[in-house]
Amino acid sequence: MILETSNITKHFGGLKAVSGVNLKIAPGAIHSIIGPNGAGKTTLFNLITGAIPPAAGHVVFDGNDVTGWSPERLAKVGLARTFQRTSIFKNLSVVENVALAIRSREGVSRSIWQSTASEQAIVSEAMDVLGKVGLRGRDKDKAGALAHGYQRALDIAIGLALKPKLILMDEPLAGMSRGDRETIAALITELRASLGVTIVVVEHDVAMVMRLSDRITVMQHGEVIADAPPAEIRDNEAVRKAYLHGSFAA
Amino acid sequence: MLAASLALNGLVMGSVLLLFSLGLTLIYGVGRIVNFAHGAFFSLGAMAGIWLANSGLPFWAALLIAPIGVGLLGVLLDWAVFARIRDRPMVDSLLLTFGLALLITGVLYELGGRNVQILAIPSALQGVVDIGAIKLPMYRVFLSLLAILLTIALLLFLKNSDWGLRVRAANDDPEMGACLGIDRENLMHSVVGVSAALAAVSGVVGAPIFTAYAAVGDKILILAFMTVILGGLGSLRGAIVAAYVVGLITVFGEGYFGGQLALMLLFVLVMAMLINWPRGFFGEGRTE
Amino acid sequence: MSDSLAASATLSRDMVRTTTYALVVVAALGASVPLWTGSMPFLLILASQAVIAAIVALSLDLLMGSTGLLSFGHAAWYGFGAYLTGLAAKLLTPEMLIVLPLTLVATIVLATIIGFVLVRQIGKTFAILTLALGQIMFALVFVMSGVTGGEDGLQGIPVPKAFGIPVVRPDVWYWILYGVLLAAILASFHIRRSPLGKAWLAIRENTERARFIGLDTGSLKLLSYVVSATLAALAGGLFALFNGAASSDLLNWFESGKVLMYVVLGGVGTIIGPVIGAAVFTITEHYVSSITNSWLIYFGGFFVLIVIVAPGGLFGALSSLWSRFGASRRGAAS
Ligand SMILES: Nc1ncnc2c1ncn2[C@@H]1O[C@H](COP(=O)(O)OP(=O)(O)OP(=O)(O)O)[C@@H](O)[C@H]1O
Ligand SMILES: [Mg+2]
Repeated sequence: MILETSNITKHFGGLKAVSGVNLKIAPGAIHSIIGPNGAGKTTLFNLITGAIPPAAGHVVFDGNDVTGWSPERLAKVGLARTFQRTSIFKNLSVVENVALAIRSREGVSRSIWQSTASEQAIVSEAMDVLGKVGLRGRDKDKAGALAHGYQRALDIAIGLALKPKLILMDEPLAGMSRGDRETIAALITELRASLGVTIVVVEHDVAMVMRLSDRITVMQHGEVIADAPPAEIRDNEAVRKAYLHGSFAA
Repeated sequence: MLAASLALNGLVMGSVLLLFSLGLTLIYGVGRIVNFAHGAFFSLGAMAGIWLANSGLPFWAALLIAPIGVGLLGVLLDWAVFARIRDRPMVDSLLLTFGLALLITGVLYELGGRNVQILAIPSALQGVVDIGAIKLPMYRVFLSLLAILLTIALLLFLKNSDWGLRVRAANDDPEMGACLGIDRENLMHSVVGVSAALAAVSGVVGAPIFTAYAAVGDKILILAFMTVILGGLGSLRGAIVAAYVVGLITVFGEGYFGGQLALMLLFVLVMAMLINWPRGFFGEGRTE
Repeated sequence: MSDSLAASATLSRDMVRTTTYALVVVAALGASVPLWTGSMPFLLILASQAVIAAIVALSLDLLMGSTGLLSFGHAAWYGFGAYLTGLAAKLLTPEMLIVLPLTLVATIVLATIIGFVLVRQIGKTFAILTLALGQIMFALVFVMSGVTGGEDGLQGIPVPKAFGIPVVRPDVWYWILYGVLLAAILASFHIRRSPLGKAWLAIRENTERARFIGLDTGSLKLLSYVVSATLAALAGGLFALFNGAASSDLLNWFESGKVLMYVVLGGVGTIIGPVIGAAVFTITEHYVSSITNSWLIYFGGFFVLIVIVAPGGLFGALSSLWSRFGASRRGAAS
C-alpha cells in the first residue's frame, strides 16, 4: 500500500467530520472517494496532507508514518494535492506557477543566482507538464485570466510538477462543462498510464467515477460505509441508501 | 508590604486596561478590524476631560459628556471612513486605522496636546482608603470599581439585549450574522461608537493618574494589544483574564525594575507565550 | 477573451518599459544632485535624507511587497541600526567599513530571533507585534539611557572614516548614500526575478498553496523579514554616521508610519514606487513643515485618503491610468 490511514479521526466541536477511517490505497491505482456533501471527504484529504492535525489515528505514506508532518514536508516526499476551490497563484503567469513547483523540489532560497541553463531546463520541464494538461499554448497568460476549466487543469499541473508518487484531487471536475470533464477524466487515466502516479479522486459524478476507478471508497457522516471495486459498489445496499434517489441510478 | 500595595495597584491598572481592551475586542469581533486608532480615542477622551474641566464643568459632567462625544465621533468615523473599506482586504483596515491614529494625534497636538496636563480629582474622591495595612488613594478604588461596573454592565448587555445578541451572532460568524438579517452597517456604527466611548471613559478617568496629552494613549494601546494577544484575539473572557495579568506584570515590573523595562519584560513574555500557545489563554483566539 | 488577454500581456510589457524608463531617469537625475546644489548646501542635505528614506522604504517593500507581511514598526530596525552604529563608532572605531558590517551582523542575529516568533503569527497578530516591537525598541533607548543618552539622544558620534579616510564632504556623503540606494534597488530587482523572489511572491499571494507545493513558508518569510530588517538597519547606521547623532525620535511610531506611507504611497511591491514615494514625501515634509506645524494632521489625513481612494498607491494608480490610456489609444487605432 502506498497510503494507509488507520482509525484517522477529526471532530469539529460535536461534529464527527471524519471518524475512524481506515483507507488503503494501492500503488498505481486510481482510487475514488465518493459520498454526499459534508461526508468528510475534504477533511480526510486535509488530514492526510497535514493541513489539519488528526484527533486520533495514523497516516502511513510510502512506508513512513507521516502523522503530524507538515504539508511542505509531505510535498517533498511525493504527496501532492489539488483543491476543491481552485488554488493557484493568480498573479503569476501560467508557466511560472508550474516552474515554482519544480523549483520548490530543489529548494528556492539557495538559488538566488540561477544560471540561464538551469532556468531554461526548468521552463522546458514546466512546458512539458503544461503540455500534459493541455495548457501549453497558454504558458504566458496570467493564471488568474484563465477560464475556470483551465484553472482547474493548472491546479493539477502544479501538483504534477512536484513529480509526486501520489496525488489527491479534490473534485477536479467540479463546475466544468461536459467537454472539459471528459478532457480531465481522460487526463487522469492518461497520467496514471504515462507517469505511473497513484491518483486519489474525490468526485460527485458517480457515473464518471464508476468508469474511471479501480476502487471506490464511499463515505457518509465521516465514516466509510463501503470500500470495493466499482462493480460491487454499484450493488451495495448501504451505498444505495446513502444516495437515495440520487444520481446513483446511473 | 510593597508587594501587597503593588498587587492592589496592579488590579487597578488591570481594571482600566480591561475597560479599554473590551472596545478593542468588540470592534475586532464584529468587524474583524484591528483598531490602531483605539489609543487615539483614549487620548481624545483624556484631552476632552481637560477641555471640559477647563471650561468650568465638574468632573462628573466631563465623565459623562466626553465619552458620549467621542462615541458619536466613532459612529461618524465608521460611517464616513471605515464604511469605505468594508469589503477590502485586511491590510487596508490596518493601514486605515493607523493613518487615523496619526490624524487624531496630530489634531490633538494642535489643540493643546503638546503639554502634559493633569485632570483634577473631584473633592469627593480625594483622600485614601485603608485596606488592611495598605493605603490606597480613594480615587484609584473608585477607578477600579467604575471600570469593573462598566465591564459587567457591558457583558450583561451583550448577554441579554437584542443588540448584544446581534453582536454575538456577528462575532461568531459575520456571514452567518448577515444571513440572520442583521443590518451590518448599523451594527458596525454602533459597535465602533460603543468601542470609542469605552476608550474615552478610560481616558477621562485615567487622566488624573496617567495625565493627558496627545499621545497618552500610545502606551495603553500597546498594553491592550498585549492583552488581546495573551487572551487570544477576539476572545472576551481571554481579554478579561489577560487584562489583569498584564496590569499586574506592568505594575510589578514598574515597581521593581522601572516602567520601560516592564514593557520589555511583557513583550518578551508575550513572544514566549506565542511560541507555545498562539491562540491565547483559552485557546480560542482567531487564527484566520 | 483572447483579445483581452493579448491586451493585458502588452500592458504588462508597457509597464515594464515604463518602470525601466523611470528607473533610468531617476538614476541619472539622482546622481547629478551634488552638481547643481553647490550653492545651496541645505538642498544636498535634504537630498541625502531623502535617499536614506528611500533605502528604508525599499527595505519595507522587500517585506510587504514580497511576502505580504505588514510591519507597523519598521522604525524599530532603522533606529536599532542608527543607535548601534553610532555607539560602535563612538566606542570602537570610526571606520565605517567595520561598524556598519558589525551592525548588520547584530541585526541579522536579533531579527532572526524575533522574526522566528513573528512570522509564525497570522497577519493581524504579526501587525500588532511589529507595532509593539517599535515601542519596545523605543523603550530600550530609555532603559539603557546610560549608553544611549536617553532623552538627549546619542551625541558626539565621530566623523566616520572609509578606508581610514575621513568622510566629511557632503557631496561624497551623498554619493555614498546614493550608491547604496542604487545597489539596493538593483539587488531588489534581481531578487524579485530570482526563484527566491518568485517564491516570496507566491507566499504573498497564496500561502496555503505555497505550503502544499513544498515551499517552506516559515523559513522563507523569516528570510524576507531578516533581509528587510537588515537593510533598514543599514539605512539607520548610515543616517547616524551622516548625521553625527541619533535620537529616540527615530524610533517613534510616527516614524514607522512615515515608512509605511512611503511604501503605500508608492505602491506596495513595485520596488521603485516606494523609493520615489520616500523621496517625494521627505522633500514635501520638509517644505510643508516649514510653513505649518500641524504636519501630522496633513500626514494622517493624506494617509487615510490614500488608503481609501488609491490603495494601490499613487504609482499603482498612475500606471493603471497609463495602461487604461494606452488601451483606449490602441482601441481607437484598431
Ligand atoms: N474547519 C472546520 N470547522 C468546522 N467544521 C468543519 C470544518 N471543515 C469542515 N467542517 C465540517 O465537517 C463536515 C465535513 O466537511 P467536508 O468539507 O470534509 O465534506 P465533504 O465531504 O468534502 O463535502 P463536499 O462534498 O461538500 O465538499 C461538514 O459538515 C463541514 O461543515
Ligand atoms: Mg469537499
